[in-house]
Amino acid sequence: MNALAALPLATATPGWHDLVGLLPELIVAGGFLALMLLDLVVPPARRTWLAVFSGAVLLGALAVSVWGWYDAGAAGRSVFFGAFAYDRLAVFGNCVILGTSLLTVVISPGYLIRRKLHHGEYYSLLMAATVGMMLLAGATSLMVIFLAIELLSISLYILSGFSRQEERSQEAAVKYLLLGSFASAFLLFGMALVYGETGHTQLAQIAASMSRSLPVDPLLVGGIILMFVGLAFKVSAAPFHAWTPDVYQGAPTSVTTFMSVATKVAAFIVIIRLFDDAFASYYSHWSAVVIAVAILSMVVGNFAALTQTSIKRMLAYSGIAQAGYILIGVAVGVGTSLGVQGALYYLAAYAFTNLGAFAVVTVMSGRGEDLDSYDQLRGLWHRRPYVAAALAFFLLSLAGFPPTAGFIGKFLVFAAAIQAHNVALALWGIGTSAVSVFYYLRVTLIMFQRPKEDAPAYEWPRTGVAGSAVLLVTAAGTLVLGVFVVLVLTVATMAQTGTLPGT
Amino acid sequence: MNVLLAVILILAAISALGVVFSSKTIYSALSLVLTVALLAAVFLVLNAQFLFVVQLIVYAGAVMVLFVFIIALLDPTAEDRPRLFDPRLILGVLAVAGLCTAVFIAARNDVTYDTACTTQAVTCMHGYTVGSLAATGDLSADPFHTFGFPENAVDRAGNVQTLANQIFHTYVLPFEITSLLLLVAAVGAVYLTRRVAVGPRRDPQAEERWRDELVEGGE
Repeated sequence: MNALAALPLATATPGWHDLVGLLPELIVAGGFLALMLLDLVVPPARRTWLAVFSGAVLLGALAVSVWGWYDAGAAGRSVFFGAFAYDRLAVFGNCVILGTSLLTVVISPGYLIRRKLHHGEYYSLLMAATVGMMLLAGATSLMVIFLAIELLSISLYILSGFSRQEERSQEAAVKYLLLGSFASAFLLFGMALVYGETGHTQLAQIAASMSRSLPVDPLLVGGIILMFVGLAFKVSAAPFHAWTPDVYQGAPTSVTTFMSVATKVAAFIVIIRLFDDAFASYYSHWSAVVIAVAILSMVVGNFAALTQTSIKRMLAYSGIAQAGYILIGVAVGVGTSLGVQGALYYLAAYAFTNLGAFAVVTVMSGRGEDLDSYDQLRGLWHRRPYVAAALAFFLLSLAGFPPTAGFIGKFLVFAAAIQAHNVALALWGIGTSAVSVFYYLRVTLIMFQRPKEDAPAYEWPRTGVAGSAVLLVTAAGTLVLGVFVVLVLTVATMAQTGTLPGT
Repeated sequence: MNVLLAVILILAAISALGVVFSSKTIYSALSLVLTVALLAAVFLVLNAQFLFVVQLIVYAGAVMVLFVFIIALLDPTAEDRPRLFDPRLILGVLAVAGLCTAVFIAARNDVTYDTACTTQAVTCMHGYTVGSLAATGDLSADPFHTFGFPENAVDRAGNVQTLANQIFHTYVLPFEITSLLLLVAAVGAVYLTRRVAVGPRRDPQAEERWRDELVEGGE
């Protein structure tokens, strides 16, 4: 008998059981490594092949994730000693993240070639960010949550500064890096307090410790709120949103497309897992903070968006407001079943809609600079009627008009607020939504105007097959989520019920 | 064992004072190397061989060499010494002294030392609980063994084996994510610092050409 056999520490060894639960993440991580090597052998003129390869890897991971929905089953299971959840919430998050990543890869080559940014690192970093997001969606240990957030953030910092010739892009990267590190410090401090008070890094054990704790532990409440602050930075909720407009505007538009959607989805999945599950027994201590941040996000996002004249900044402020609406679902997610379902539905709806809106900006960005100011959209309807119609449709969905996905998402979270007897919260949501109609319709009207004679015309590039396909898919998704409500709501309900750690 | 520990600690304290009071920056840096090395020796005495090696490699090795390098580049002779009775200095000393007194008083009143395990730093964690919840929780149920670290496990299995088991079994997922994270950082560093044509003739195509030359040159 050797020394290791007598060791009481490692009672279990990670095996196939654990690896199967991590299969989609492993596929994308393998794709990331392969892309780094492929970049060395693929000649620069043929870099579109890297996009094709990335797309194939992401499609494979998506297929495995869909299979994982059935393999994980309704109960889900915990892998890697409770560090990672293989449950339907994680699979739901993975599917949305992978879909977003896939659509981003499809529109990227055309845009990057026009902007002379077509480097192999783009695809490997995009894959790395995707892995980080997928890991975040399934993380059930404080260590994995932190590392996953860092993995996705560092990849996105680099991608934000991907245009090295452009000062604005570099500025965006530095701002994102500094404020993001600041947010990580908050998150880490919160985690340290939670760990210090419960003695565990795993959510299941933390939840068990918390439900036993009487009287209430003030340091634990502080830790939970600090963790929320750190995560609110990532979903760009007010008052932690200062970085969002500058980074969204400065980063290459295809990167903005990806990060505005996928980061939010991954961070919201972990927020739901933490707050509506692991920290549920401390609901009365954190709910007021979440509600305050939700209301502030809706007000700040919508009112600041009114005065914008740049489409990217407008969509950034709109994203802040949307984070507020999703937070309504999170805030009432413990008392009601509709809260988390509404938040998940909203995430799926937001993914299609916002991805579509940013995809229009990406596809229409020409050679010189990114499409940005409202004036550059003037008359789009007369030159590119299908693209203009698609953007109008996405903006209507963001504003919450039926029959779009945005309407159902808003309806569900407001209904959840009313179900939780928080009518005031629902009224805040409805009121700010009414405000949002102004700026969404303003952009729509500009597209339908005749171009001015003296204004320099913006050269919109051709949409291309890839661009048309992405716009078609996102528009179809926005419509399907707005019409076939039961379909996606069933999925959201199933995702919610099997959540680990399951308190 | 305790005498050895005391000697090492006294030497470490003296060299730490040397860091502060040396008249030349380069001597300060070298004193710091000595302090770090002596702290590594403390780990060795405490039966933590792995930490000893890590401490030597990471601090005494890489960081300190870098530090000495920087000092050498900064021309230490050109640096002027701070005045002895700088008001900021006095304020700082008072603040540190106050803090130390507060910590000392708090320690006298609240903390009791577990004399049974003074020589084994790691196993002492077992008797140490932070916060109110850790005491009530069932520690043995946690495979992460944070506070419920089994007693004498280190002695039975050896230090390196214990760490290896933690890293490659219990913490294998965070460990592997960290490796991905470092890889991403490396990719980013290479991309963001890659040579591009700057100056009067700003040519976005130059980087592309440079890459092409590199690819051809490598074949």
